Amino acid sequence: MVPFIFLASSIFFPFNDNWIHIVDNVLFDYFLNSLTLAFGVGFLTFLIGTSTAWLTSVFDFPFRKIISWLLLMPLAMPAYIIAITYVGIIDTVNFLPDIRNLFGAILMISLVLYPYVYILARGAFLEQSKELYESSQILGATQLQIFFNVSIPMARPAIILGVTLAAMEALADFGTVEFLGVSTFTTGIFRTWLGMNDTVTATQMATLFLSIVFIFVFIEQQSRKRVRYAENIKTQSKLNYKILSKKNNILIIVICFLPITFGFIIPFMQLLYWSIFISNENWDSGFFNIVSDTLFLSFMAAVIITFISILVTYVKRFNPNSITNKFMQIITLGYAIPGPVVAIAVLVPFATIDNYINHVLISKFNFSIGLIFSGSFFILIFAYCIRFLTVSSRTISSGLDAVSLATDDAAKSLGANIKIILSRIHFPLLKTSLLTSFLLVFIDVMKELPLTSILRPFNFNTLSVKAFELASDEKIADASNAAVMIVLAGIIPVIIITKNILGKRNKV
Amino acid sequence: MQNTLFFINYKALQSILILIFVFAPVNSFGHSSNDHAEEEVNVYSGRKGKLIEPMLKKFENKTGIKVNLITAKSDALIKRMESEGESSPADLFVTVDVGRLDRAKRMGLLQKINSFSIVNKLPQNYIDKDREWVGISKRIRTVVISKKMKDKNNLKNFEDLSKDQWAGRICVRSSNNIYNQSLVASLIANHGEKKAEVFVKKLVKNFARKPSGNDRAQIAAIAKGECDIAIVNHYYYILMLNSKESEKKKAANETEIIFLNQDNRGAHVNISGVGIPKHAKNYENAKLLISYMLDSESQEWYAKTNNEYPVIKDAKVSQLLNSWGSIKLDESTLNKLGDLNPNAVKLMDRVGWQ
Repeated sequence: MVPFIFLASSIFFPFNDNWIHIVDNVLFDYFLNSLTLAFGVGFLTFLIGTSTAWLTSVFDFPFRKIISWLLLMPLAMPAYIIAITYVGIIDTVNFLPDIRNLFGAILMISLVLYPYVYILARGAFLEQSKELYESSQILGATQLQIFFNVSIPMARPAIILGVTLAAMEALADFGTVEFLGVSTFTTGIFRTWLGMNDTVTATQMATLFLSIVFIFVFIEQQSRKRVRYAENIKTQSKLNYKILSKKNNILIIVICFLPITFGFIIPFMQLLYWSIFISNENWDSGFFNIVSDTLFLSFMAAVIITFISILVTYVKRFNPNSITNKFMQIITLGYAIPGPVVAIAVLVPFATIDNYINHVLISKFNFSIGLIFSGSFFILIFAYCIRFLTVSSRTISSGLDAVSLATDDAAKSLGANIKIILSRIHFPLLKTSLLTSFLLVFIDVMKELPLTSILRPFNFNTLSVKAFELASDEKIADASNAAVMIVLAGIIPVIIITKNILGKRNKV
Repeated sequence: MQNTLFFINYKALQSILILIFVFAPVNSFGHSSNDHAEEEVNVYSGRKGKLIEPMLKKFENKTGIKVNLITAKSDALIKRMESEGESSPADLFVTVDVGRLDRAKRMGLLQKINSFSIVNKLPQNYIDKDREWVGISKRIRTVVISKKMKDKNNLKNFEDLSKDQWAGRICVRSSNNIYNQSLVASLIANHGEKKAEVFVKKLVKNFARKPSGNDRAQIAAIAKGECDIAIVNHYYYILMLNSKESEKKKAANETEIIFLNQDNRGAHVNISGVGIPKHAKNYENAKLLISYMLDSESQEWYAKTNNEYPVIKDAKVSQLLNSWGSIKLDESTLNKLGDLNPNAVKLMDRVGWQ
């Protein structure tokens, strides 16, 4: 909570000349571009994510299994890397349209973020019952009608969650939009902070920006409140895959391969090409140290954040009106805050505490212990929590919401205490959500850049930092080794997701 | 319900305690500033790891002083030093832009470098007047033009770029880029804000396209026929000339570099430099490291790895840099760039340089 108070406190500082300058010259553009970006990414990820999720969960066609996990691959690709890769390709091939504009930014970001929608929507589609589907058919609905009138509304919470996450991440993006020459709120905040050296105005902008995001999220949550989603007819007979004609099979494969090709195969091939033929970087022990550092950090962060999310989610379930719960709702806005803003908001309060402790120690015992929190893994993981708790807690709570409160009451009436309810009922039902949360955070931390770069301890490096440093020094080919490694390391969790979550239906 | 709450709060408390106990000790591995047994120096570097690590390794081997390194954007490091205050472990601050050095100085984050041997190695213009920072390498921002361009004789000064003649022929990256900000700051330093604004406004009108991409992308745009003139840093041009990718190399070969303002103030130059933070715990080691960075061996290493110009006189440069001859540089405004950076940013906002 402290970092949020820190941010919000900025509005008590007087607005200075820079603020007036920004309002006069650029604020409207920032606002418009950010809004277009968020809606554009939201729409495109919805389109790609939902359609592919539905096709792979309702129909049976050749290579369905492999396609359903290939569709997740773009998740492992950092957005700024895919943008740099495509610009590299476009610079050498003349007939391709330019992507260095707002549309290009929407396309690039959507290509790597649609898997959020895909994974959540697919989970929801797979849960939908056979009876519902068959009744719709009996009533004469066509496949498309079922899709629009039954499947999508039923999966609405999951789809909205995916789209919101993608839109929020797009809003917080800096690297991609900056590279493609689009000015958004985020680039504006940095410009004010770095270019004008005005932290106060920058935090004021961040606060304004967050308030706008909060309004949207609030509207979305309110609109959802009116409908209860806990499915009462959660039947155990799962849908059988529909078998289609050859022509339709080919059509489906082509549709599914579009995002895979553009979001993964093309950029990954280009990176591989750079890495093998052009890069001057070596695959030496130093490089593998960075790989193991990255994996260690991502793993720790994912475990801790998932664990905290469980606590948060349970507070919400058992005590929805508590103050903690209200605070948590604000904290889950973290996903839309640009990394460097989170970094400052974490850095300043903790450094103050550190200095205070040292002052006390020196005055009382004439002894200094140096910085305790600043420059430690603790502060880094704390910052990740603020940034990624949204992904994790919302994934878990969407899973927990599906377990109706009536189930708990039933268990209680049979004499089960809270521990038994958690371990015997909730945990098995939540396994999927927990795993999804863990893996999404794992991949997010691995791709994370600004927080890691600013807050990390001495001599600690991650793949993402390394890739970005080389790329921003215009040595994209040299950056390709680290980028390839991020993708490869990201593939492992993607495969685990597939095996455990998406493969579920295969047993039936 | 009461039970439940207790259970959860207890768990939460427990987890927080575990977190602190697990991570607080890890911290001491992070920066062992308390460990007096070993000589060390802690470096906060805005210069990319790749462009500093090999030299630091050599320094370690030569002196036995352990170098601990964090790299990040200079501004972020300034913020980190500022908030860490007296407890900050930083002993040396490295940037790739004189404006950032100057900003750190103005914020009272640096201290005087008391060493004649360091000061005597450098020309005056590359040392802060209060000796709070020194340059370690030079970077020139200039133009690369198409070899096919027929009217190149009309392009002698940077100011010429505002003429109608170049309408729709200039490519440059976004004004978020620090090198563009310093460039505009240098125009303000030389002409005053009003005159500079008139000039930059016309320059922006001459842009061939919306600013985007990096410096190399601007050179590639010349080869694609999108523009004739690209504003870039000299070493990115060299990077492209030496590229292993044939198309990139070919693109660079269709262009040539020219240095502007040679008959007056000299071409726009920026420096990568270092300063010693005010609360440095290893002041002497930091001085040793600066001294090492200014050795002819280290200076030649910069020139070789990143094609930057050395700041000391007797260092050798690459054949290509040699072939460009001696270039007159606009050195006198170097220590004003930091101060003028906010003005430059706002100016670019007003004239619509995205």
